[in-house]
Amino acid sequence: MRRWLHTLRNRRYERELAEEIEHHIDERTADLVARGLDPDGARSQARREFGSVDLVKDHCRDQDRLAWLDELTRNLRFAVRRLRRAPGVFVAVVATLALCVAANAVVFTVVDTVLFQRLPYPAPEELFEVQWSSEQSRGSLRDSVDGTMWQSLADTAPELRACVYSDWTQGVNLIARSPTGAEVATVVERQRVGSGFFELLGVPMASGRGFDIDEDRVGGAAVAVVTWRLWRDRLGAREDVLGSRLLLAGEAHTVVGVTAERFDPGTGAEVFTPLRASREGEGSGTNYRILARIGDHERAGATAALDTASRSVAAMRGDGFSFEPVPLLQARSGWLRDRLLVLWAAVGAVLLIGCVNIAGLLIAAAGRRRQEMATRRALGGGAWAVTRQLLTENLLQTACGAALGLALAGVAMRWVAGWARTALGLTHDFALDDRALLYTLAVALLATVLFSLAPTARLARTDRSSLRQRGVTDRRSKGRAVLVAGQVALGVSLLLAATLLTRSLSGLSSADPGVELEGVVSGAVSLADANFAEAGAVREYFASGVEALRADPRLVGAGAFLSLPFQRGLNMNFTLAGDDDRHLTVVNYATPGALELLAVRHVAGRLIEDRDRSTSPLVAVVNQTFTELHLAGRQPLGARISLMGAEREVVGVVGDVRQVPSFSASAPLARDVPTVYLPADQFPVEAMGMVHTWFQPHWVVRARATPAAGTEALRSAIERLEPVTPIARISGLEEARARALAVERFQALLFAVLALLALVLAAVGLAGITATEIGARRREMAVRIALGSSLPEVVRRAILPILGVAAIGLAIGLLLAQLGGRALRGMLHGIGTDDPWSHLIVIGCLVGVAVLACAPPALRLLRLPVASVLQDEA
Amino acid sequence: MSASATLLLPGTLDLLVLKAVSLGPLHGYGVLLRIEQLSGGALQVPQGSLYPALHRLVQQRLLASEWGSSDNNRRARFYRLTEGGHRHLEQETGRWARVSEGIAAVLAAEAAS
Repeated sequence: MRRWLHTLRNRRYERELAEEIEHHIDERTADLVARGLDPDGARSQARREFGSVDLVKDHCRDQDRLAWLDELTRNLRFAVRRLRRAPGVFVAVVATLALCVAANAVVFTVVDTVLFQRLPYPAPEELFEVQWSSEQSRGSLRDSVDGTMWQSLADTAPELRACVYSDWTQGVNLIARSPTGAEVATVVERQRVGSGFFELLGVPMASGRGFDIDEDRVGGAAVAVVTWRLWRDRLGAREDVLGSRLLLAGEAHTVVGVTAERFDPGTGAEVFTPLRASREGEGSGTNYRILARIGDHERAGATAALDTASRSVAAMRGDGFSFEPVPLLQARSGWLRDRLLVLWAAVGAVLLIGCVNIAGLLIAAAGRRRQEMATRRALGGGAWAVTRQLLTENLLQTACGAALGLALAGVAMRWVAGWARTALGLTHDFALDDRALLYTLAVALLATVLFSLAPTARLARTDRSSLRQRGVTDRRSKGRAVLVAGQVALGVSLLLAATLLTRSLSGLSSADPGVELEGVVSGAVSLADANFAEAGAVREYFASGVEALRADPRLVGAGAFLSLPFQRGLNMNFTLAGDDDRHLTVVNYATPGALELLAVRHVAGRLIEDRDRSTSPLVAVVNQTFTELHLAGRQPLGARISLMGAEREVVGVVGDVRQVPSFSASAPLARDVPTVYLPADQFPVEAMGMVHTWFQPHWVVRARATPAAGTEALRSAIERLEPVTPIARISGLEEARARALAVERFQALLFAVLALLALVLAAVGLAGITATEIGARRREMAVRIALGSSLPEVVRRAILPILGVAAIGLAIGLLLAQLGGRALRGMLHGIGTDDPWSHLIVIGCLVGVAVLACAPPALRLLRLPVASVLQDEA
Repeated sequence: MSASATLLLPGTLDLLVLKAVSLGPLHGYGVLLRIEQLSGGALQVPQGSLYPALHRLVQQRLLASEWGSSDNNRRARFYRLTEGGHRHLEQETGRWARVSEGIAAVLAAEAAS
């Protein structure tokens, strides 16, 4: 520090100091010469009179040293000395702070990256998603549009810079030549986007271009844009890739562009093909999204254009239809917004709890430092000087805590980021960036101020008179009890939230799935392929596949579905015979024996059998929810439904299977989704192509022994069957269920970690106040014991107030949770915020923690050396 | 600097320096000379303490310093009194007067007969 100070003071200072002193000696010498001394004698006498030049210089430097810096150094040095002498408090404070800072930094990074940070496109604030509402949606916005809405917008508002795209990606078969020259078939994620998509997002292509209007028309040239990563990993990073041919979905596509390395479509897509939006087929449903770029100066024009378009669609539909631009960032992250905000609030609560703990530790430490402070005041230290000293100590602790916390956060961040990417499918680049650092710094400083306030004020107030009251500690500190009760309250509400979320999750994942999961292995194939354009191709593929798999001795059975349990199904409109009302249902197809393979409950009639060929009478099997919703009061068997342009007879009823509801979403996984199963052979050929661009059908097998054997059998059989149709995403059904609940698990686990942290901190707080309390009342206890109180009685007296604090905290916490429960309501499934079991668990946990926290000091009380305590303090 | 000169009372150097400078800007040696001259040679300023005192007063913003040229055309650091220095000098002069009167009164007391 001293050396640093020396370099800080520049050379000019030293030169001037030397010059000043030299001038003095010269003047003095001149005076002495004038009085008759010879010059040499005069000079040496002048030097003698002046004394040591170096010493004077040193004293001058001492005076000129930057005063505040000097004090800071002194305070810091003192703080380090103190901390070295009492490392317990220091370690506790730093550890608490580090945990709080780490939790805050990690959660902030996730919240900030997903909700607040700019999208990775130029001028991202200009990007909007055009959503819509109608009388039917009662003002709530829908994000997907159908072909008619898009066409109306494009026709009536040509000046609006907008494009249409699909945000679904599907695996499609890509056949590429490997560096060794062999052709390799893989499944890549394909997204279909309209012309202008890349231009609107505004990230320049690494090479080539996006799609033009002609390519985006039905019958346009087959073209593709590949991502930089696909180009590097699968296409051998060829320089001449533009104009080259890519066998994608069984069809030759000309590569017209390669996206920039850092381009992130936000969907995980690896290859893009033109959307070719239309009013028919997929365009008859709301399967598209609209992207628009609206500059600041274009706002008014865009609003007017959207109004015109809204009126033209409303006129067609007659339902008060209205387009609404929503910022793209908000549209993309909206589904996570509430969850992340709740998480942020939770981590803030943890910080508060930590601050209270640290304040408690410091207050306790302050009690032991009254002597020191009183001495300092008596020796002339001003209140402000003493406060500065204390703040310096706290800042030192903060700095250590923050540094350690950031290191912890760095480790935790990698884990959480990996998780967010795989489980939540977030493509963001999660990193502790400068915003997170700044936020952490602010949090740490705020924490310092918060936890410094009380103890510092108390210590600085300590006056000289305290010197005399040696050994007399504070009476019961009410303030601290209030803080600890508050801390317990926050901990309790966090714990309750975590318990509710965990119970909701475990309810969802342990609920009867409606199928038997054990030994089931599935894998997806892409049939959106030119090889399967012929009507018979798909049928033949399923038939020969089932045959091949059934022949495998490692498998119990095999089949294929359009969509599996725990997935989202295909929605279709249907009508009941003799009724014009259209209803929505999930439509699935299955090969003969596939329902039996999953052990779906057989309720009535028959299941899908080998005789259900494309040429035989059209049949359907429906689930129980379907019969309850649409065939109530009727004999379901023999009922006729009209679906995808053909009438079919209901021949069987099966139990409900848990799946991701694609309409009227009430829970992430639900059983009450009306479902129609069609024989795969009887699925309408016209719809096949469209449906297979959205959904990858799944092969399902049940292994006789281990799932690993099933995996191997499935892969080898399917890839031998059709080498250009690789099988992807092979996994057990258990994993599929875990994937469907990833968001819930992410939230529940993070909450559980935070609640655990909060609980530990609250326990430390309780233990701290117990120790102080009992420490302060040792004498009283000793007197009581001496006067004949029984030990249990004394312990009871000592512990009761602490348990009282815990009880008050518990009550406030439960109340707080009731108020805050509103925020959780949409995230709980199967249980309400008033779930009695959760409350019991929380109360049990808190009682346990309170007893644990009280026990050690209480036990020490039992061994209280009564005589010596009384002697000491007499 | 005569042998009969008295050492300063502790704490009075700053006051004397301020007073000396208040009569007009001076360099360090000039301060020394002026105090000796004003005290009629009765007070001896320890030369080693003078410069730290000057620097301290500058730090306290009671004095300001700037470089100028001395009588014999040499570069020297000159000190002058600041506004704050003026006020401080007045206060301290008053205080000193009261203290010295008090001391004088005490010392002048005679045993009651």
